[in-house]
Amino acid sequence: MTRLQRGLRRHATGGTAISRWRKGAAAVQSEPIRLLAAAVIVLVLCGLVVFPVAMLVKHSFIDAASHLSVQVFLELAANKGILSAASNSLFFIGWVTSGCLIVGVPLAWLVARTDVPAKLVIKGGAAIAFIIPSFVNVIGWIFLAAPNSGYLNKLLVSGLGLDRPPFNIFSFGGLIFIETVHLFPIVFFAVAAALANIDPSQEQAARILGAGRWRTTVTITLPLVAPATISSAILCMLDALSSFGAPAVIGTTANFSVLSTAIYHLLTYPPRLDLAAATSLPIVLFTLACLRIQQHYLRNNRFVTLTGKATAPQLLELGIWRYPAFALALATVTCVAVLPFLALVLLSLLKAFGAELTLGNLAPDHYYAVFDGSFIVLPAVKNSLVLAVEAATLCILMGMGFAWLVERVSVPGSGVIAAVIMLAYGFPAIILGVGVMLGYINVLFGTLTIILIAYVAKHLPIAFVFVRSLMKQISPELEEAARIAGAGRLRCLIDITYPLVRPAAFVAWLLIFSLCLREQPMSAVLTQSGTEVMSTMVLQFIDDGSLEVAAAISVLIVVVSMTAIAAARLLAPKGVIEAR
Amino acid sequence: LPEEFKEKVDPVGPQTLGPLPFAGACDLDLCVCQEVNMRRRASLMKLPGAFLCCLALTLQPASAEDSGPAANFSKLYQAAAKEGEIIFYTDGRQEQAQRLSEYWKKNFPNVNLRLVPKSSPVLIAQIETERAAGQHRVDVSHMSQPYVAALWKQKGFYARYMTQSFARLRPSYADVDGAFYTPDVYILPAAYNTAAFRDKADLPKSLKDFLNPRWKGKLVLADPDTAGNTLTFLMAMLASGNLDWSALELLAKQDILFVRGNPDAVRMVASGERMLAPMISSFNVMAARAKGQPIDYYVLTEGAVVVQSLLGIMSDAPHPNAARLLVEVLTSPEAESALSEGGVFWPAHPDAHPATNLPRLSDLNPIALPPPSPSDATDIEAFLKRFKTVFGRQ
Repeated sequence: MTRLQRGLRRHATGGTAISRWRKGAAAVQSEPIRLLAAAVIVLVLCGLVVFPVAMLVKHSFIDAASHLSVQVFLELAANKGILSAASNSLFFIGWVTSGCLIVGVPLAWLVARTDVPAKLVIKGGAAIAFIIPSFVNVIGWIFLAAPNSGYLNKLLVSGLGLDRPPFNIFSFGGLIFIETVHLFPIVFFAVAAALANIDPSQEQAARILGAGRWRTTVTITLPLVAPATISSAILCMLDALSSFGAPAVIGTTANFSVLSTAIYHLLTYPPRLDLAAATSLPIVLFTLACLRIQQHYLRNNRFVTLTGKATAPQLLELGIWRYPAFALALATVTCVAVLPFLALVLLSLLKAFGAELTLGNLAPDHYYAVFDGSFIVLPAVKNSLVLAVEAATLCILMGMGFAWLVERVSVPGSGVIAAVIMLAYGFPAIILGVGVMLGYINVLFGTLTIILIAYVAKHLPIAFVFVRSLMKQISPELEEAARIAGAGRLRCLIDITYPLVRPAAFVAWLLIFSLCLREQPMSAVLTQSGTEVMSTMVLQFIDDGSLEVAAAISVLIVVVSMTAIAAARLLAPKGVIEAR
Repeated sequence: LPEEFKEKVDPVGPQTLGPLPFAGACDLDLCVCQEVNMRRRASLMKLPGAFLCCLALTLQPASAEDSGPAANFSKLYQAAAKEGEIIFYTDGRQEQAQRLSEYWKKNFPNVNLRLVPKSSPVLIAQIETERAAGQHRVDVSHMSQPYVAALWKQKGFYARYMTQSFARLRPSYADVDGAFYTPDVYILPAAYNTAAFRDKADLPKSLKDFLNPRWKGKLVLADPDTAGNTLTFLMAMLASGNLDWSALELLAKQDILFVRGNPDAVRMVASGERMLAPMISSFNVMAARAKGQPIDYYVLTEGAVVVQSLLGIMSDAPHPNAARLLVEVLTSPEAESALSEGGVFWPAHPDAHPATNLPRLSDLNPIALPPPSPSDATDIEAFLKRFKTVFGRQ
């Protein structure tokens, strides 16, 4: 590359990091609102992410005698178990992310860009798959696909006369399957939102130039939603990396551990907070590496598809493929949502786990236990709902603000801001919970606020990624037109940007709401008497052997989430949900 | 009970005499009162000096105000009431916590009991994290990891306190320095799927029987790396000579399904995924059986390891008097009797009455464990390392 080429490229990408920083700093000085916004971002992110993570870092560098030491990192490097867990984690997240993309992208395309029937059923199925708490999802799948006792296995063995059970959920493959069906909705919803925003004129141009439907889809449509695809794939990777419920249950039976379970293990018998904190630091590096790759890819490409030129969205007619496509989508939905949810419902109605699955053994007794005042389930339901609504709303407000500042306003160090936001997502939830606890134990311990801080820190990246991905698709010319017409930055944000990103923000709100409703590892650490949430109640019932009651609460979680989504559909301004 | 009086009573010795019943004994079941009074009279025959004093106490008519547990610990209760609340981290089962909450509200309404139920691993992690942050939030902790209790004692996490039952609970159920106590115990028996074994004669009788190839692919065990009870069981069996490493090597060839914890092991047996477990904690099996799940426990010829839950006042507790009150109550025979009824744990206090639904512990060939020691951690590390190698566990 010649010097001239390097110069041109630097100019095209905004110059070197230092020059970009200088330009941003100068811009900040010239506009007080930017300065204020930058200060607010820094303060909020410090409180949410930097402070708790700094507490963990501090503990990883302090030895038993309270001296600064790197001894713990040397111990970490020599620990074969953790190194093996790290290697397993890499394989695990690789397979899960691939699975999420393979399932999520085509399904999103079918729903957003084709005339496949019953889109609501497909979207509802994906939502259910995402909402079911992972540790309960595992139990549902064990109920269905355990080699000897799984009802699905029994049914297939007796129905088809098979020699051996076809499924073994207690395997590495079983874990990948469970995690994939649990996480693919992230890709599905993000890509579907992005696909719905594509300017159809680009596809039309391709068709006019002679490209067929499939070629247009593969060469025009899908590349245009690369920001959403890559961002959601990274979310899946980080989510899989921090996943605990399924790896803990299946990992033990299938005899392998991943980083999140290894870290959890380090916090017990006897606890090694220093080693656990040190183990989570390489995850920070991994997260940063993912973001760097994403930045590198997205910076060198343009994905603006939403411009000021209004064009009507056009759906691809599938013709004779319409019903086969529907059958495929329906089979996927059955597999990812109907089967595990049905298993949960059956489990919640079964008089006792292990009893024969007959009508006489089904009764709603466990639901009575859920609503029995002595079990304090109802206050937990209320706490969960309050926290989920507050966390989702705060995440969306912050996510929109941060995405706007990073994408549209030249705030110095925007790359660092994006990295800090994403940092918390890759952290195993339990260690982030410990970090938040270490950070706020003096003032907020035993309150719902400390749980809210953890929820917001963990889920802010979802709002940020969803809104930012969509913002990348929106041409700045729309905002520039408003500015030329005399609107200020704030007016521009409210009247132009917000209505355009509202669909993605709404989907992100629902995702975060559902995630918070079922969040477990951080809640287990941070809840106290009076601040219990539904997921900790579920876990308590599982630990007590009352699997049936745990299943009943899980059904309740799914029903509450689905009701919230349905209510949102009714209350949302027309077009916000339908467009998705 | 006045301290000076108690000192006079104690020399009689724990094997022949329990502590005198508190005034609240009148609230107990009539039979219990009779038995307690008979024992008291017998002991007083040996203590003429205390006789008149005790008789005077006994003959005083108990009014509604000065009877019951609150009256037994009235000074402590008054001091605790000024503190207003107590924070209790417990790994106890939900029904157990519920029963304690009701008992407490009924007897000590002026002290708010904040129960924080968490599993042992989370509870331990939480207290360690709090301490690392220099915070002392919890008054009393209750968990079931003996060597963690020993480590906590060594690290000064526990405040030392001698309860009224201290002498009676020694040496088995109270730490020598009063750092922690055992309010209740459970056992680690074998378990089986009742639908798979119609005839109990088919069950393996001893640990060595599980090595029979007949049981290959049919066993489940909670991983000792994650389940403290399995660790306790295997180490106790190795220490007692009932098991050795060559037997464990043969067991490793039995295609055992390892699960995370004992509740998971119960589920695997109850669902029929595996039909047998050489060891599962008794309370998990009893709770599942009570719900109608097809599972039951039985004791192997080697006997059943007895596991103690451990209760201790944390150092620098925010509500020290309330903490003492709770530990006094939970180690008292009255509360242990009342709380064990309908439950799945045996009360530890020798004067407490086990629940009528439980078999007598002495009939189950119990194997007592030695007191925990901080050095156990080293032994555990060495054991787990070898276990992982033998069983090919990651």
